[in-house]
Amino acid sequence: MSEKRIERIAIVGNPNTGKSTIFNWLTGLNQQVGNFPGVTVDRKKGNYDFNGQTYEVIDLPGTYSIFPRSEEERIVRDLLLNNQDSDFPDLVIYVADRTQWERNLLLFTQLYDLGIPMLLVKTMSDQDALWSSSQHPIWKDRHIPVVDVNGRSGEGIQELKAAIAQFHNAVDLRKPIVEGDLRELQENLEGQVTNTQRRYAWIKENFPLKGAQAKEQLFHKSKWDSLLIHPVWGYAIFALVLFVIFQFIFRFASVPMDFIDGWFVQLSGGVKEYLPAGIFVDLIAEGLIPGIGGVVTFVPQIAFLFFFLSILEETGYMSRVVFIMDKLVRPFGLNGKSVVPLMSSVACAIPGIMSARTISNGRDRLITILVAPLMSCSARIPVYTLLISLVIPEGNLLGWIDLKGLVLFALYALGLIAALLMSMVFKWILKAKHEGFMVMEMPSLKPPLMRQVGITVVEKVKVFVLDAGKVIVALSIVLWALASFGPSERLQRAEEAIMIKAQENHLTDEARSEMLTAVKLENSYIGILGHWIEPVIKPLGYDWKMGIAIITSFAAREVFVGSMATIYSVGQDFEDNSRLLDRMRKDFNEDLGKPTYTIASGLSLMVFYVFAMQCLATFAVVQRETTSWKWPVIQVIYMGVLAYLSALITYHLFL
Amino acid sequence: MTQNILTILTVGGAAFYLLRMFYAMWKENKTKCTGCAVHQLYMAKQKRA
Repeated sequence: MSEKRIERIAIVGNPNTGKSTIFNWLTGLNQQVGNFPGVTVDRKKGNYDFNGQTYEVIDLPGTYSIFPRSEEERIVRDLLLNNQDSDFPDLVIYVADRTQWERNLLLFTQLYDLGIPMLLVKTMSDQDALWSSSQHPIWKDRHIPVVDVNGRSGEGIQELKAAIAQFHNAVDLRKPIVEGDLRELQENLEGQVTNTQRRYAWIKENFPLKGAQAKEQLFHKSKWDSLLIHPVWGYAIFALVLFVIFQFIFRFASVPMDFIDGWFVQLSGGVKEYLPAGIFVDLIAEGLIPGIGGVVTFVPQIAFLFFFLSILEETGYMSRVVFIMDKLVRPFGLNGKSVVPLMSSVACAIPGIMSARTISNGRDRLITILVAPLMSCSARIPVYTLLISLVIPEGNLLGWIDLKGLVLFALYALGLIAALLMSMVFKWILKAKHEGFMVMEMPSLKPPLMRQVGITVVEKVKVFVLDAGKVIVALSIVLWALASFGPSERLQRAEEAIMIKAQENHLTDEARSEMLTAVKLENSYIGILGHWIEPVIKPLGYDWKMGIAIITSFAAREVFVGSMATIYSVGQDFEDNSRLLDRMRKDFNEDLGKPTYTIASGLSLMVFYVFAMQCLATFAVVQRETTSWKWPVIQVIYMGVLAYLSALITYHLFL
Repeated sequence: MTQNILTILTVGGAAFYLLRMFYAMWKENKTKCTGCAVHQLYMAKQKRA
């Protein structure tokens, strides 16, 4: 009998057996979420103290067998077959659902024969009155400690901790369940089938199902399911659920968001007012604080969305949604689980992309992430409303359809159509070795566990603020520097010209200051870039001013309006857009010999904003979620090209 | 003067952080096959060469 101090524990089991619930009960909020090296599968680690000792726990992805069929299963197989791996556990907690023994115990028997130290945890205790809680004698014979845990109440967690602390490794005493080395069968499909059949035979022999239990396992469908997955009512209920979620996100998340936004604006103002004037104070007030504000502002939206999503997950309703939506979106290269991320992206692409983690198929998840920012998010609304007010005339179509409303609707529809079409393109480009199919478990419907919901919300917010937040703040500082500095001679000349103009025209201090800000932006590196790209954007009907606004609004789409306000010298403290709209309407393009903003150039700009990936935070989140810079860069390029070509076509269509 | 130095350090630090992160990701990803059509074409070309 070999003894080793238990320090690292891995939680292993089939999907939907309650592994994460056990992990959350053990570690609470002492969790870190990362990725397994080189892949985008969650690697959840945490720790807890018991009797003066610290235990590290890793929650491994749900796995059915040691013969992998998916990326998640490959990760588990690679880890458990390699005792040199830095994550190799001293003990495996094998979590099995008491109501699904036959399927759940297959992996258990495989790990048993691989000689992995194990402790068996039986879950779903409270749901199943049919099963006796007495321990089967086989576990004692096989030297496997067994603990019953009630995932809902946490009953049994202390017993589990005690069992881990008292664990005695009896691997040397094990007699194999099925003879043969599983490592050698990894490439032998026929051998795998025979081996698996012998294991199922062992499970059936030792755990025979009685009539009622067998029926329960085979027809595990509640009366609610006939409604929730109904071909008509199923969609209607889902539409209603989405409607309620979006109402909450738009109405209630906007309250804390506006508060946070206002607080950061005040903080910036306070810093400028109370700290000694200088370039570093400008950096703090105009670069760092808005950068941090840009991260924190999204927190309510992310928290709200994940609150609802985890309630849907916890209740088991999400699996029903995935089931009914899958056949609708599969022709587009998406899967049922893509629907929620895409719908969420209408509020904001960031939580939408983060919620794509529920998609286990790597390719489907990547496609969802790549197309999600095409859905028109709430940050586009200020841009759309400004441009619609500017170029779309008042009036009705067919006597009752408001023209401006129709254009706004068309912009949203355009985003959705583009997302579906681009999914098809990516499906063709990102060829899979095997076409994906959906195998899913339909967990039973149950009330949500609010503790789990809370942990999910905190974890998602933490991931966004700490991981993506760092990139957003760093990029905001770099963008600030590019918008604040420029060739000194050029800046000086421009400033002198403004001073002379101010003196000649007897301008007020405020007007002079607004003109100075505008001229500084025009002659900054970003401004020079705006002038420099003018030949490229000229075919779209844009001038250098729009070029600057497009470049600065890479930070966030809504920055377009603020940049325009700076360029047209109306300041940032405008209460509505009327002053800005007035100046933009009067702007005349000398080269083209007509107003800068016509229906053609305005629609072209709107279409550009439908498709262009003008969002630094989304860029950072895609980088974080794909653990790669390649995909966010590809995304920026493809969306940029799509935006440019569509804007070009639109401009010439309406010219 | 102090403000200038602090600004240079902050902006330089932010740019360095992004570049370092970019480099680390690039290093990790360059050996990983994505299995996409473009990469497969590239691999086939490499093989032929």
